[in-house]
Amino acid sequence: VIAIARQVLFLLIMSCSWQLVAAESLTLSDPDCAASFRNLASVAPEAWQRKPDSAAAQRACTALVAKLARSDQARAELAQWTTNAAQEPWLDRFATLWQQVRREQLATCPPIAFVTRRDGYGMGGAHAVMFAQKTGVGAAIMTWNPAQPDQAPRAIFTTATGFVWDLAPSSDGQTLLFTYKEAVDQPFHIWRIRRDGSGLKQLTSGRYHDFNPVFYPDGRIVFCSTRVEAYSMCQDYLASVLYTCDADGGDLRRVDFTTICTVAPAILPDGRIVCTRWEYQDKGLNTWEGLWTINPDGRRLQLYYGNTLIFPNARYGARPVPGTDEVLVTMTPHHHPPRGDIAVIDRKRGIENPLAMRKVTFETNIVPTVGKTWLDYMRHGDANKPNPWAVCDPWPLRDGVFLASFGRAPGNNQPGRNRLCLAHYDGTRFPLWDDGTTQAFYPVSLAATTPPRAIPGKAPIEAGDATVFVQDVYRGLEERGVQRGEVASLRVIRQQPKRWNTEGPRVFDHYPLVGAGTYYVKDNLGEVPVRADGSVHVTVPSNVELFFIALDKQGRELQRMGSVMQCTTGETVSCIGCHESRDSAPPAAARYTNPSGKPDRLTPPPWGTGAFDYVRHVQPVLDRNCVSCHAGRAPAAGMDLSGDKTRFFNMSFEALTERGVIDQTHRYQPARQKNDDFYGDIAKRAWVSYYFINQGPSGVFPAKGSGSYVSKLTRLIESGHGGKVNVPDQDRRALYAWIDSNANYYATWDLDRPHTAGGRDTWHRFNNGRITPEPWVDELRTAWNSANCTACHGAFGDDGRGWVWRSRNDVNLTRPENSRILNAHLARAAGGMGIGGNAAKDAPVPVFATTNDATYRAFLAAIEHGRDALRAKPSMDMPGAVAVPQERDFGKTFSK
Amino acid sequence: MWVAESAAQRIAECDAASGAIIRRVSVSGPPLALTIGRDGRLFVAVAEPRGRIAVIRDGAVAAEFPCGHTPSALALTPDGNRLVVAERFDGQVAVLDARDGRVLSRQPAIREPVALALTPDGATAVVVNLLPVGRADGDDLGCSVSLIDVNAAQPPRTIRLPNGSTGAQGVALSPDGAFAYVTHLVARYQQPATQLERGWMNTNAVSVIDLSHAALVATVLLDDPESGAANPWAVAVSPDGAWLVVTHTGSQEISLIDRPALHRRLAEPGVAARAVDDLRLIASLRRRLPAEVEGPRTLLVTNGQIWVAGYFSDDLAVRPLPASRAEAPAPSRRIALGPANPVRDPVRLGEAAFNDARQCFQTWQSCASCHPGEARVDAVNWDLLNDGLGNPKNTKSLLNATRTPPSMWLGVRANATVAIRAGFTHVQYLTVDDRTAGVVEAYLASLAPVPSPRLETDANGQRRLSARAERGQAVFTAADCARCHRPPLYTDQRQHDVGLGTGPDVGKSFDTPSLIEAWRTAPYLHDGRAATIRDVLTDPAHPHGRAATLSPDDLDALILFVESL
Repeated sequence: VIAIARQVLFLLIMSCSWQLVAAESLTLSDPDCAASFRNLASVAPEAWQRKPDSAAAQRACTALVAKLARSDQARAELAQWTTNAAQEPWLDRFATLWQQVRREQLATCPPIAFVTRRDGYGMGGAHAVMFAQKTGVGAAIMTWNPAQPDQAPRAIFTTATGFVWDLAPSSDGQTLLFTYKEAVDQPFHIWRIRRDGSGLKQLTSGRYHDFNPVFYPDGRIVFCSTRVEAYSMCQDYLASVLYTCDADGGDLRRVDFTTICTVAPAILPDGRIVCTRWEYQDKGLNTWEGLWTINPDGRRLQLYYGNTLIFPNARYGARPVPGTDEVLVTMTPHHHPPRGDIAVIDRKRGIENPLAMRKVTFETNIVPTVGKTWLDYMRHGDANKPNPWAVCDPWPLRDGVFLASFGRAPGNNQPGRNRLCLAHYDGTRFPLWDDGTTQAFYPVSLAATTPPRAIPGKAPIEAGDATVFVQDVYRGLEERGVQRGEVASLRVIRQQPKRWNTEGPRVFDHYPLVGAGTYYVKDNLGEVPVRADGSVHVTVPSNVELFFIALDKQGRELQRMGSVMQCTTGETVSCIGCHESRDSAPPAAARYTNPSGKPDRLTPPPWGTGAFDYVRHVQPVLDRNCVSCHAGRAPAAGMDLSGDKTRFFNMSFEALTERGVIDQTHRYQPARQKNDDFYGDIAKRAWVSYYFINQGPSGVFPAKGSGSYVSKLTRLIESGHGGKVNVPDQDRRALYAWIDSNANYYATWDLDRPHTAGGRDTWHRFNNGRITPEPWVDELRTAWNSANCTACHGAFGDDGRGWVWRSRNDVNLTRPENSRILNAHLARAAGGMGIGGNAAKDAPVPVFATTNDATYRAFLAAIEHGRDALRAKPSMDMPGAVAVPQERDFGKTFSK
Repeated sequence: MWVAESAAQRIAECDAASGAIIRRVSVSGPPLALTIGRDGRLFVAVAEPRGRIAVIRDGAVAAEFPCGHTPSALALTPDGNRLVVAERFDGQVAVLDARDGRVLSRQPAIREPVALALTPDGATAVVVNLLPVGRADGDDLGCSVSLIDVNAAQPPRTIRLPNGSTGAQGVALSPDGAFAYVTHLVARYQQPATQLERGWMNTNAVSVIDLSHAALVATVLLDDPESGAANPWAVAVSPDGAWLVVTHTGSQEISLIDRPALHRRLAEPGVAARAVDDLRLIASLRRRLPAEVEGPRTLLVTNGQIWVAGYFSDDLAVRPLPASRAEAPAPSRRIALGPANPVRDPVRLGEAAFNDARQCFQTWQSCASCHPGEARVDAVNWDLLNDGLGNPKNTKSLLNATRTPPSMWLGVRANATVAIRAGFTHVQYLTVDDRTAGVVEAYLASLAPVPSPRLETDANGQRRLSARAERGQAVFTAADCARCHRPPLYTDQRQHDVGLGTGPDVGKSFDTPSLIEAWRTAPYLHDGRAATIRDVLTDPAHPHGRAATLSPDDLDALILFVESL
């Protein structure tokens, strides 16, 4: 009863306030009028007032009237005015003209529907996972005819306790789909309502978020959903992908197989679904939200625009502009809601060309940008900040004209304020309806439009096989420096969706921790030979996320596909080449011939199938070839390549991914941890070339420029290590495959120590909601402090958050006596490394003369306790580990 | 303005300013081309096997000049003295005396000349050949442009268009006669037909030819990466040379190309060589506009206006030429040529659908892209997905397709009804409703064979087998060819393994093809390995080659008989 009463009250409040702002009150203090002046005169009204420039103002007035006036009234008015005096009241005159033009423009606007919300935008967080986050309360769906501006909008749906996100009209304008949650702690679902407010129906249900619905022209509905039961890679949110259902919510079918988030679909005139798709394939995490197209049957996933742009971080929510082959998008930051500037994308100008994206609103300083080099990544600059004044929810009406919600985000103790405008590409805009307080979003036209073409076919539900055909891998690779004949095979890799949520501190930005580079547990599905003519014709598993690596005869990476693809069951995916121009038709080449007519099969890696597993696949290689020198108390060159356990990984993994033979300097420079390039520097100096996602590259991987092909370790192996070692071919291939998997370690998402750092922190435990050190760590700290190690090395400095890099491999939890913390300063005579003090710091260094040193004994005792603790509770890379499940709730609302 | 109304077999004369029809003149067959002399005489090509040029003066047919098989294009020399006529199925170009129709010369074109243009000096005819010649199982084939010396002083020269070129339909010259522009398709026949995006199957092009060097400058694609400009047909250059205009009868559009800008781009290093695969070159050089007629084919650009004829809508659309590429296109004015009644004839509707690329995903191609020339062949092999990958098959003519089930070389479709729907779904990547599929079937059923140019014409004007072909018929019977190629359609509609399969098709049986119109469906056999009937009959690799043991005379006669069907 209370809820109903609140709803009625809310409706009353909203209904009473429906009134159009009196035209007379619209002056240059009106933000839309001011912005129109600013964009036409190229000077802000305030600046103009300080330094009046009649030419600029007259230019603005003339342009406004010439471009947009539809009757003679404004023209006549403009003609009357003199033009010679700077003190002419040009701003007032512009405002008068703007009001006149506004009336005329509104008359051209079709009937609309929109969403009003009590709490402004009402959602926070990164837009790609926004649906699962806490929302505001109170919303309504309104209809209104701008051609009859004196008539109040009509509320066809209201909620006092829930939240409405978006709207999508049918092409006849008679029915609306919307994303709605009945209460803030409930998941979103797809609802349908008639334009007149009748026929309200909930179409989806269950403990999942369903959102962003659009009608498909054959009557189906395309939407996004968390039904994939997976998590986004970094923060504690849910993954989402495209689904289709029939008109009443039945026959649910998954369309795309991204492992992160697909959002904001729309239907292009030719029937393809265009959507914003987020991916994380070994590249910079902030840039990877481009526009992709896919058919409703899951086939032909293709890049539409912008997979290497740094700014804007995301190309969000493309909507086709009627009568053109362009789309409108919102240029948005990665870590904030999809508010920013609106841009038009003319794909014909190049799918990675920043100039193909031109801004049509001018509220932020986002400039479409690509990196200068492939390694450039996005620093958290202006373009990843929330935009205080911004635009969202564009709805194209025709070429050059669109509806959108313009306004101020809440902040600085001011409430947010958004209102709807009819906007032109030159920056001129006119508020549609405004009562001075209500915030309006998601304007959609209710005019009947030509429906897009429907591409036939439903997505197959059962996973199975598909076929990939590449006409000639050298198309593209040859231009990038790969010689014909160099590519021996393609490796096919599957990225596993993330099974557990981020519910603890991240290590390398991972939770669960996977390795030093990639976010993903990856399956090496095997290799297929490339034929002499460059063609590949191979069966791959369907309904999963895949990518390819072109390998040379030695098994080294020639080219990594820095993006992912999918094949649906039964599909034949065809490619011209690898990284060839997407603006080219298939060039005339030798005919494809295939004596068998059948695709090849993948050959699984001989060292073991399943997920890349450092302990199973790589450590045995090192054990066979390296540890005879590189292990023990004083391993050769300080490189411990044994499989002994460290805090998160093992010794060899740490040594190869972090610590170089000569390069130990960064360990003792805590200040560098704050440096933006910290991780990147490590990756560059390490023995293997890998890409840490926070600073990952933004461009296309260069041919012969990444992974095993350029790793120092590869050179060492190939040179025979000064005649000391001859690594057998298969062992080399296993090492190279690991490098090219981007330095994986764990082969599972499962966790033995949930809620600790990375879910795998052997130094800490999680108790009663708190992360506390294992007792042996306290013991070690006490010894550290009493020996005043801090004088040179800084504080023990472990907060259990996983960000303390120094502690990664100083402590050997398998063979405590081999710990570097013991042996670095142990005299050579006693079997240690005998490293002296740091002369530059001019501080005495306690060197353990013998293993009887009291501090040495105290360290050793603590670490032996650590070894015992680990034996008692093995980690996931050890036999006997016990996986501890976490919560899996895909309808959860996260409160940030 | 005179308009050839080919289906109605008459010429409409209309007032260009008002669009009013002044009068109509009936001719004795379908008029396919016309030209007007300075003396006011109108010459109309009547496209029948017994071809003729109707001469119209003062609203009446004053004379008929006989010419070869199916005159499809004609032009008058600037002095008005000679008519140049493309005789399509004779594969020849005739030069007639414009006064009396006397044949001054006949010179060979390459294959099915369907369009021609004369240089301003009247010395050279630039003749467009519809189809490639040669076997289709290799890595290179394409149709050609013939340069014919109107004075017959020099032998014809040939300019081969790029690999995959087929379905050439139109030609226009620059006002100075320096360049010719030829519309055609570029078939990407080398890879399996797994998709359409990015021009995976058929791309649509205009080739630029430097006439002074008789050399191809570049082949420029007219498609955008995600939108085909299907079936370019006519091409015209505005009198001032500023615009190149192309009709796209499949995607129902016209392209307005900035001609000077195009030549500037092509002069940049590397651009011309890449153009044949470059789907972005044209984007900044042209405007793509809806044709606003159904089936835009012929085109006239004059007096600052573009005239487009709607082959299926029976009308003209007239729009002003824009002053620049940036100028917004003005809407066109429609001139109706016939009654406003919508077409109801299923055959006509089916022909329209067959030629309509809007029935294809992203308008890349129409049925007519692979089956040009009244639903016949493009002379190219395609690797469709219905029988595995890596085993391309030569395009079959659709003549008699409704009468000779099953369909496809391996008989994978039970009949034409099934094959038509499968074609839309798997080749055009869209489904069509039953009505559309039905009218397409009606259209295919309506196709009638064209009498072979190898037939003789008797005194009564009737076509019949020559005496030699009759001897060939006896050889055909004696050699038991009819066991599989059984009259009257010369197919038993069964599949046989005669050792023709290769690769994935080894041991497979192929559907016996009909021999009706074999004279125009080269190359032959399921993989197009035989360029000529002679090649079929002399290849020792399969039983057809046993004909090589015939006497040379018998073999020649047999070939003539087959080519007379």
